[in-house]
Amino acid sequence: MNKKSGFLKFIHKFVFWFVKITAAPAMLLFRPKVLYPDGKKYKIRGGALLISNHITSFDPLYMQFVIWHRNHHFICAKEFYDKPARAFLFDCFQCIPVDRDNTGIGTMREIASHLKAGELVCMFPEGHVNLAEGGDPELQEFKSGMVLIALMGGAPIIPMVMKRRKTILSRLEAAVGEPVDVASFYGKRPTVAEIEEITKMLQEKTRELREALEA
Amino acid sequence: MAREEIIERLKEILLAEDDRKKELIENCTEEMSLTEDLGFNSVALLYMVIDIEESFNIRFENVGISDFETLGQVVDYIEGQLQ
Repeated sequence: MNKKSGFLKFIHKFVFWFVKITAAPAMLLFRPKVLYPDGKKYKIRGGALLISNHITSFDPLYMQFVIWHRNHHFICAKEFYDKPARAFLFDCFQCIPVDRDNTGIGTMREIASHLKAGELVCMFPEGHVNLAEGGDPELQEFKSGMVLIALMGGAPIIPMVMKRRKTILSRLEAAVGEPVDVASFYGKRPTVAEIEEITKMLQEKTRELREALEA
Repeated sequence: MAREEIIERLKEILLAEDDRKKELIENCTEEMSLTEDLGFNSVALLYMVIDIEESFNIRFENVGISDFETLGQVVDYIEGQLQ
């Protein structure tokens, strides 16, 4: 069992690096235009939770393009693991399946362990692809789970926004905001109400990023 | 640990977590639904589980937030883990 899982892990890593290396020229050619609204490029080092708006199914790929120098883990809905081929692909790209209807504390611990290990975890706090038609849709309400994950993992949250590409050949435009240390916000363990306040503040920061990107 | 003691400590955890529901939590019973009667959302339930793990020094394994409907079921689980 262990031998098999070890072999599978090797295959997953092999596929991941094969795709990443062979896709490097395309990543260079279509490298995104990244805006840092404060004029300061934040160095994303160590454990961090990267949050973004979710406007297309390719957003996880685009996030890799924006923060290209890091390996990403993606929080992904468990229902997308329904087909073996898809599940294999998601495993190769270090996705973490989450049961949205019955989130287990074990899953939360797993995500937190990646953050504690200094890794980058990505998620879409709107919870699903925002399918509103025309241009770049307004942000939908963020879920508070991201704050809980960041608190458990002792990691900052980095807001990010991506803009819909006009054509398939146009370069992606994205804006990355200042990392937010949610643990230091109230100087104590926050209550549920305070977690909700932090969620609203992060949504506001993401909205401001979106406006800066539109300007 | 006696069941009453577990309930009291659980109430303390819930109060520290959400002081907006002080009266409701202080007067809650084991039969009360966590979501409908106490109005906890998924984040509040996960937060409760994290606090319980730390406070009682136990570990919730293979359970999701929807596995607990009432406060009594949470107390049952803690009791089972403490034995």
